[in-house]
Amino acid sequence: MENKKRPVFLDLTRIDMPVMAVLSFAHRITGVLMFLAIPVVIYLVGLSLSSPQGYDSVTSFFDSGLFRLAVLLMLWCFSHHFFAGIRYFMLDLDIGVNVVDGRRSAWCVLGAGLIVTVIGMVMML
Amino acid sequence: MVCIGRRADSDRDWHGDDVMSRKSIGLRIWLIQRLSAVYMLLFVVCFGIYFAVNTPASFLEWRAMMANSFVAITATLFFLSLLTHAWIGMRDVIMDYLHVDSLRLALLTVVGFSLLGAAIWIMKILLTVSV
Repeated sequence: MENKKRPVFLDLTRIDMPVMAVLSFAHRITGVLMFLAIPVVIYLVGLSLSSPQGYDSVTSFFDSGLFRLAVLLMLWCFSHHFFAGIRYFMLDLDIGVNVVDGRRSAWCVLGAGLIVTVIGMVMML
Repeated sequence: MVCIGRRADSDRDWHGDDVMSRKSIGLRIWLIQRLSAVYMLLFVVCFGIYFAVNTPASFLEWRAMMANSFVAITATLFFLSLLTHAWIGMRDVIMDYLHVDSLRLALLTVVGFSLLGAAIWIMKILLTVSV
C-alpha cells in the first residue's frame, strides 16, 4: 500500500487555484445543491398536477421574491452543471485536453452559466 | 480516452486487472453517470423546446400535456436518470470528504433511501396523471 505518512498539503487559502479547479469544485457544489432541491421539485410537480387549486398555488409562489431568488439559484446550478458536464464530455472525447484549451473552455463554462442565469433574471422581472 | 466494451481477455491486458476488479466497476459507474447525463441533456433540450412552443396556459392544458403517455414516460425516465446520476454524484462526494466509516455508511444509507423514495414518489405522480 501507499505510504500513509506521505506529506499532505491542503491549505486551500494558500494553494494557487486554477480556473479548472474552481470549475470542478463548482460542479460538485451545484450538484449537491440540486440534490437538496429534488424533493422540492417533485413536490411542486405533484402539487401543480393535483388540482386547479394546487396549480394556482404553484404559479402564485412566483409572486414571492424569495421563491424567485431560489429559482434563480437553481437556474445557475443547473446551467453551470449542464455546461460543465458538456465540457467533461469533450474532455472524455479527447477534445481540448491541454492547459490553454482547458483554461479557455473553463472560462466559457463559467460565463455561459452566468449568462443563462442573467437571461432568466431578466425574464422573471 | 477510456475504452469501453472490451472483452474480458483484453481487459486484463489493458490494466493488468481482472474484469471483476474494482477498476471495471468504477468504469461501469463512470459510464452510467455519462449515459444518464446524455439522456437528461436530450430530454431537457427537447422538453424545453416543446414546453416553450406549447406553453400550457391553464391547469387543464398542463395536465393534458403531462397525461400524454410519451411525455409521462420520457419524463419518468428523466427523473430516474436524475436520481441515478444524483446517487453516483453524492456517493463520490461523500466518499471523498467523509472518512469515518460509520458516518459514511449512515449518510450513504440516508441518501440512497431518500433517492429511492423520491423515485417512487415521482413515478406515482407522473404515471397516474389522467385527463
